[in-house]
Amino acid sequence: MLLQVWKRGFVLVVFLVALPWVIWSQGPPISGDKPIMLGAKRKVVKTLSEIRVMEDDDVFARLPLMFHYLPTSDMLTAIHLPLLVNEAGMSLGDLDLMYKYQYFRKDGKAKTFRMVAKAVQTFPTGKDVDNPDIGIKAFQTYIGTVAGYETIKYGISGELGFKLVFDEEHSHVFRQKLGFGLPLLKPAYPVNQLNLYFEYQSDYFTENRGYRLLYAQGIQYAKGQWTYEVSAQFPLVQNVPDGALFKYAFLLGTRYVF
Amino acid sequence: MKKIIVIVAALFFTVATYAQNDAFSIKVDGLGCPYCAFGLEKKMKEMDQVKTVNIDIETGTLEFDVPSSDALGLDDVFAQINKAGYTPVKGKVIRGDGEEEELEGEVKSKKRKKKGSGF
Repeated sequence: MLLQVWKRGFVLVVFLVALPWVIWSQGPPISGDKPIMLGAKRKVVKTLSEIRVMEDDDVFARLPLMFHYLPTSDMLTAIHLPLLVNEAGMSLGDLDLMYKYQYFRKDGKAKTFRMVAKAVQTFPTGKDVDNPDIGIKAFQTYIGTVAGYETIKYGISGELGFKLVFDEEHSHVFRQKLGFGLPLLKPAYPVNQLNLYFEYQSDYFTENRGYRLLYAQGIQYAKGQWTYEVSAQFPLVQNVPDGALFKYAFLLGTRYVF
Repeated sequence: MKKIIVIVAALFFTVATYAQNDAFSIKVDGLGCPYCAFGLEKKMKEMDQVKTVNIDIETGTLEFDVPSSDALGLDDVFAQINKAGYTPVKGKVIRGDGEEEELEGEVKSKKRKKKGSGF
């Protein structure tokens, strides 16, 4: 109990310390999502590999290959196909199909506020590894909205969504995300950016009333059409089923926009 | 032989003199990040006439030149910026012959003004 109070206090302190940086933050989040789209007919190939060390010291690696395509300036379609690596070997993970639609846009000089609706359908193409983040062999539908305010001096993005799990054994999830970053170089075009990222994820599990709050600290380098990023994620609060308990995770990503 | 070379060279430079460019300068809203400018540049270059662009994300200014012979209109440029997902606010083009055109806001509010013939 005391530990949980301490952790909640720590979260508050981290948030308050990080808040002043918001006025200088700018750029796309690493583990979160963003509402800004890069124009019709743009394509992005990316990967965001995750190495997760569980509470019982089991290690999972999730290596997704992601392809995003924007048929119009306000619509994005994507396919995510991951490989899973654990002690049992390598196997195919769950396939995700994603769709985003920008329903609100308010532009100003060197700034924009946008909101998108987001849907992700997960197909159980992978194994059941008894972990809701890695694989539970169930159809899952995520519906959410992402909002972001970006200027060349600062930016914030947040997400709110609900994941329906079509399986009686596992819980639905109510999810919130908040991300902001600190550019270490002056924003300029052509792209040459070095950004620090501070990202939070909050999950509420409906069936067992479980809750967790995750924090990720990341750094991102973008040059031209390439972006490289690395982030460390760890739980600040973790009251979830045993299968989902983890110590920390590393995220390693590369993106190519064309 | 020398006379022929001189005549050909003179003709070449005369033609080159008349191969004029139209200079476009557009104020664009919504460029809140460097990658936004990337999306805009790629979209503009999908137009056959546009080969290179300059984008200043601090002022939201998009600038490029196209050959006058292409007769590219500001309304076409505004439409392309909209397709990129950004908002064109004000545009100006100085034609190769010195004529200036301006466009503000929506394409339907297009207004033209002539400023000198250039000759």
